[in-house]
Amino acid sequence: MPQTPTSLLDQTLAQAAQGDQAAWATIVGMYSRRVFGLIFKQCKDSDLAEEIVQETFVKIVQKLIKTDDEPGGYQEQGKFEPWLFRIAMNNLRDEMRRRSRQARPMDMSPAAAAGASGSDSASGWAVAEQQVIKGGPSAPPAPFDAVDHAEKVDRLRAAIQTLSPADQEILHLRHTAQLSFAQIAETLDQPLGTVLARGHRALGKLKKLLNPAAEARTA
Amino acid sequence: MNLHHDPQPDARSDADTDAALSALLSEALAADPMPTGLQSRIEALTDPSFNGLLDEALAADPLPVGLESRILEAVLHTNAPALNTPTLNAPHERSVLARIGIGQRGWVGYAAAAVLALAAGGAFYFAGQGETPHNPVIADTLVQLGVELGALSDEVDALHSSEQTDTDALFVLTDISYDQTNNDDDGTFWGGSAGSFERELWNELASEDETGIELF
Repeated sequence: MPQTPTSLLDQTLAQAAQGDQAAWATIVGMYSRRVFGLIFKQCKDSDLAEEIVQETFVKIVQKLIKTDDEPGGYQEQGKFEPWLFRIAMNNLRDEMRRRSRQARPMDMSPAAAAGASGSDSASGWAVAEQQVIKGGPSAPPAPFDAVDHAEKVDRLRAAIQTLSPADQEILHLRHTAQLSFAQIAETLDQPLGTVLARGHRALGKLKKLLNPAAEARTA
Repeated sequence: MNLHHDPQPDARSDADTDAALSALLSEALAADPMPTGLQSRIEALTDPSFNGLLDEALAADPLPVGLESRILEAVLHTNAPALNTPTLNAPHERSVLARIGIGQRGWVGYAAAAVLALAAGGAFYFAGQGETPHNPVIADTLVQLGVELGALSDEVDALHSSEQTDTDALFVLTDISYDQTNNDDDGTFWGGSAGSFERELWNELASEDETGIELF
């Protein structure tokens, strides 16, 4: 996981808070792709993700810049990344809530499109298995470990799509935004133990989806 | 139990994995900040290679072309209060416009139409009034041109007056000469008594020899 050295980040943030444009360019360059990737993975809408990312950085500027009227709303304590991603996630939630009020439901996952309330439900789990397993239920898929690398990645992506939004969220924060579990806990404002458990549970579901035969043997 | 060096989740029973995870979670919850290496040990419960696959499958998508520069532009607009004039490039303003259903091109079109309407109205107004648009530049030019034309007219008048004077003088002289030439009967050409003397002298010279003729 590429972690920005704290001292370098602190220095850059301090310069940015003074209005240094080069520092802002550095921050945008460091984080824009990760923020966009996280939001796009969540909403599957490039235009919306772009708007959310821009709003996120604008809010960061408004909070970080110190003015005579209002001092900076963020004090660097080594928690900039969780703060940044929390703003992005909140922006996305607000926008999704606004869209849902306008009776324009947005499909967040294939499981949701199939009418499943979550991957834990019997119907949702069945749909997920049908979507992940290539060839349908009558043709058992090749063991996950036996397929080549590219096919593994493809099957893994398809399996992730079948998870509940909450499980996907943990995985996206961990592997797309590249946050540590401690940072994810800060971002979601949840206890670290809860986040670790959620992450582990999501990974277990994924492995079961990808290699049901092996999971059945160990059970 | 050294979980970090024994990542073989498939070989474990679910009960073993759950017990290991519970122990690690207890360790995590008891410590603040998170113990070094705890995260990798927890992920090792699943399988490091599997996590590598997840990193690849969930890698952030590339940014759309130009997005980074657009973000930076929005940031700098917000960053510099002096430059923070209302602009349609600002994302929050653009989203507001989009939400009310009016795009950037719509505003530009309305502004252009308003300018054209004002220009057309002004043209009709001036045409109706029959007046020259009160353009200071044009007015100054006209005034200067009028001054120059006036000066030229004065010069022409002066020249004409001068010519008239010369002509009149010439006519006067001619008239005098004409009068004098045509009125020698009354002796005015030669003048009073002195003329008489000269006439007498002339007559004497003309009658005595040709010397007088040679004098003329």
